[in-house]
Amino acid sequence: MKTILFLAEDDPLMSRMYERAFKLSGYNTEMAFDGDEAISKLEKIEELPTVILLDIMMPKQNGFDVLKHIKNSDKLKKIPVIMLTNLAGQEDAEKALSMGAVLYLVKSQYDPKEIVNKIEEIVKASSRDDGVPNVKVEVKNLE
Amino acid sequence: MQFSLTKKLIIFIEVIMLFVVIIGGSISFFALRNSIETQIYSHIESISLLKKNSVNLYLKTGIAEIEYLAQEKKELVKFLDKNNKIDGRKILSELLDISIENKALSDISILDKEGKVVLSTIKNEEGKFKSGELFFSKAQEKTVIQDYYFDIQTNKPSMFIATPIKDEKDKFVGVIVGIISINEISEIVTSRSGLGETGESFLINSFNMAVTDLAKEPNSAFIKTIYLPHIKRCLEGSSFSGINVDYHGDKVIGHWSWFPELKSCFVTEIDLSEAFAPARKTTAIFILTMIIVGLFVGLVVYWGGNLFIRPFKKLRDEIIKIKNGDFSVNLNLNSKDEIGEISTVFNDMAKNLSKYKFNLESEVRDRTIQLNEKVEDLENTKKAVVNLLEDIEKEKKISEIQASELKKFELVIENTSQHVIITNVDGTVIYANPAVTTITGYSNDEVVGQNPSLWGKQMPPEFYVKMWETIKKDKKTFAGEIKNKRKNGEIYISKAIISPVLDDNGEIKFFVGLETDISKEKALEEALVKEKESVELKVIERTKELKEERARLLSSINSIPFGFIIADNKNKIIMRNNAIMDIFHFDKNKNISLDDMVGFFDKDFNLKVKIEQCSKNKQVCELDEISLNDKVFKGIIAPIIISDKGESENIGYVLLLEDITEEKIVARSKEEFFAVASHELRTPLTAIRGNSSMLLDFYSDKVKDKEANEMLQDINDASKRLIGIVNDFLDASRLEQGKIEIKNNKFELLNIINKTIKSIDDMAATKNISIKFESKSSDKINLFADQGKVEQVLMNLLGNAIKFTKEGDIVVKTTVYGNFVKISVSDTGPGISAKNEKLLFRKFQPAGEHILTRDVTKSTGLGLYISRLLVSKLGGTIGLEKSVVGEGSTFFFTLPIDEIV
Repeated sequence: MKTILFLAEDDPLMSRMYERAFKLSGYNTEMAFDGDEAISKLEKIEELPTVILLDIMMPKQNGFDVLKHIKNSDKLKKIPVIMLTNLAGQEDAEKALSMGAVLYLVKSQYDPKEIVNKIEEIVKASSRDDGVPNVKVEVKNLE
Repeated sequence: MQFSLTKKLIIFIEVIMLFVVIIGGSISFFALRNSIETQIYSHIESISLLKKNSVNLYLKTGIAEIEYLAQEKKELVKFLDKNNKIDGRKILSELLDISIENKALSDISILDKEGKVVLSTIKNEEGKFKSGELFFSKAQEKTVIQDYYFDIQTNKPSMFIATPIKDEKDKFVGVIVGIISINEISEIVTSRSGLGETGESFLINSFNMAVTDLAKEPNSAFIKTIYLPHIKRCLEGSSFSGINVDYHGDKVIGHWSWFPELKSCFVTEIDLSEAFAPARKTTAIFILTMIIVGLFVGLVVYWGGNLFIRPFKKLRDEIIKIKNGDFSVNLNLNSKDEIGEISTVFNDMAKNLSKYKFNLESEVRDRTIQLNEKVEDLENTKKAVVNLLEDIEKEKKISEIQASELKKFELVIENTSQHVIITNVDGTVIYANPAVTTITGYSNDEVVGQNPSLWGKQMPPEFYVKMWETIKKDKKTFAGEIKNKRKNGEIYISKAIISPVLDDNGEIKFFVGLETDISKEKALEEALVKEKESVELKVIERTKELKEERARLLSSINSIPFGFIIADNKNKIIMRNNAIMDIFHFDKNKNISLDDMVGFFDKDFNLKVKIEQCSKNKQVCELDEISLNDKVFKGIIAPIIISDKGESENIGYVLLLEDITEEKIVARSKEEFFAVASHELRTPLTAIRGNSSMLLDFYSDKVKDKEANEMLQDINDASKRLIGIVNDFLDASRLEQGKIEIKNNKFELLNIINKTIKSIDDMAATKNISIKFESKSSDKINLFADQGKVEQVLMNLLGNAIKFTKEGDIVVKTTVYGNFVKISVSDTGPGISAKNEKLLFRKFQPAGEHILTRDVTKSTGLGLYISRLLVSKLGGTIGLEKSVVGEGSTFFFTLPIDEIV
């Protein structure tokens, strides 16, 4: 069975690129194009994703709103969340991590392959523990 | 306050009763409430279950009917096959019958495989296309239940079932749609049987919309939305009972359960006030009973207590009598107990006291009579002596007053500065006071025996004739100014008063002359008149000057671009320029007051209060960003102070207002630019970087061509560099604007240096360069600084060193100088010539030797500039320690030390 990733990203350039990279790395990807869609899809989803990736600047509800919703939902709160954004502010990163995200990655700092590697680590960790993965919080090259 | 024993007893017993009422009442109330609560929960849960079941049952009959039609009604399949050309009217009348018979279904429609309505019990429905609707595609495979929605066409809530019609080969030929009669479901849900007067049940769909009418708000179905935490919890799929506040704000006890078939929350609630009414009623009866018992006990104690206490009251009354001096007491208590004994002893005591009192009284009476007689004798003697003394004293006083009055008069005349003379009837001076000598210059001997014309005779003769006429003929006092001559020949003017002194017969006896030398006053008066004239001239001149000055000032303040006002300390505006009138949109010629202006400012800014504060403190106040007529201003209130002999007085103030709206707009658009740049520039660059790297990572077999591969690598490298430039550019701009915050914490420097070297080691290794770290001591250097920023500076210096070194080592050293630590990075690069040294650390200046050949360094030229800004923010310095062309350079930066361990 393939591992499912959930990606919320409004920019078609970005979502297409990451979906392709995930597919090429052997993952199935569920997509959402704004915050509202992300929440409603996550609520209705039958097979829960292994990792959720959230952009921050999205229409309707932003990534922080979606993250808050996930962490308040009994069904979703155990799924590790990675913030994948081009906002490189130290404050945004600290806010996301304090809200329960496991990683804060600035898109422009990584090739898609490197992001896939990070996801792989988290997938491995979460399958080991059968619970919230024990991943070190990573923040790098922030303004 | 005093309480009798009976009252105390009653209060004591009543307090105990009160406790019993409070504790007993509370216990019974809560016990009852709990048992009622449990009963109500099971009651409403069963009602809720019952209603849900009947709604389900109701739905099932509808579904069963529609599915039966789809599977068993073969005419439908034939009808839907257009080739058969079957008349649909017969089928339609059958469908109409079914919709009437089956309560759950209000209407039935048949759709062909293209989604066209071919038969319908609804008017004007036939011929419409439903192929675009979501349910149609789903209903081609299995039965679909469309839960509550608001049908815009019929303008009422609807719900329908759609199921596929298939022919004998199991091929899809059409869809049958049954519209569920919502009214029936609503009736089942909202029926209030078994829920009392305030109880109700209703449905809330997943959009928080009330689907059925609410009892407390009629006709609210599909209008009212309810956002309450417990409703949210219910809509998330939970079922639970409890006490909550309902949509109307009332406290309710209820059961909320998720109704999966209708995707809604089924709510059953009863008002708490009604639910707990029995508990309250029972408790009220209990309390009432206890109060009646309490009153009864109080009355009994009152009667019983009085009986017991009566003898004590009597004893008390008799003792009060003795206290007031009445010893005629006889306590008759007729009691053989302890109280009886007390009464006998008490009666004896009263008799003895009475006897003793009588003896004492007669002795006192005798002594008083003797004393009174003696006192009378003494009084008489005293009166006689006092009278005598008073007479002597009076006489003595009168003679003393007369003597002192005379003496005073003499003293006054001798010492006055007025010249006083007395002449006899022929004008010969018989007395002259010392002032005469002082004024005229003639001695007392020279004056006495002479005529006053000795110093007079300076006025025209007719003056003297008139004067003497007044005095001698009319026997009146003459008063006037007279010119006289002193002994030394000097003329002086005096104010003279000459009076005749008459005897009892009205005959003149003497003349008395009084003169005051007023020549000095006269001279002063003349001088004053002259002075006044010249001052008036000066005032006219000065006024003219002031007017000119004011005009000049006004034209100069009119030319400044700020609003300008001068006001006095009573807020009266003395001077203002045109700019201020423009700011407030006043007519240029209007007379304005401060009150006209105050209302234009934002409510949270009170100009008058601010002016008062500044005037009170006698300090210039700056006004920051105040809003006025949709514009932003900054300004100054400067009190005008004049100092005189160490005391300063506030005589008014100057108010300046400057329009800074434009500056604000520019500043804001700058901020917005950075926000947009940081996000919007990065996104396309990320796409270029990501896609090119993916072509290299995942499609290497497709870009096997060496040249194509190289080109892709170049695109990837270029995009990374562009991202780096954007980041550097933003970094530098934020630093320049002071937007980067320094977050200090305590950390150990040598650790951080090792860590930074490790992170950049790979990059150095690709060029066969090794980085060595030499620390002079083994001490740990603790800093209190922003760790990330320190790492960034070191990383930049190391990055530069690696860039410029072709082969050899890079050495990092730390040295402690007093309170600072110096971190230096030495490379074996090309070195920097003296003329380029001074360009280092400037904007867009790479650290290389060839300033204009940037492509060699692949840098933005902002690295050292950013490092300089960062280090200065960290409280240190950065610089080039030494550089020899061809041998290498050493860069350094310093940081303040917190402590060395």
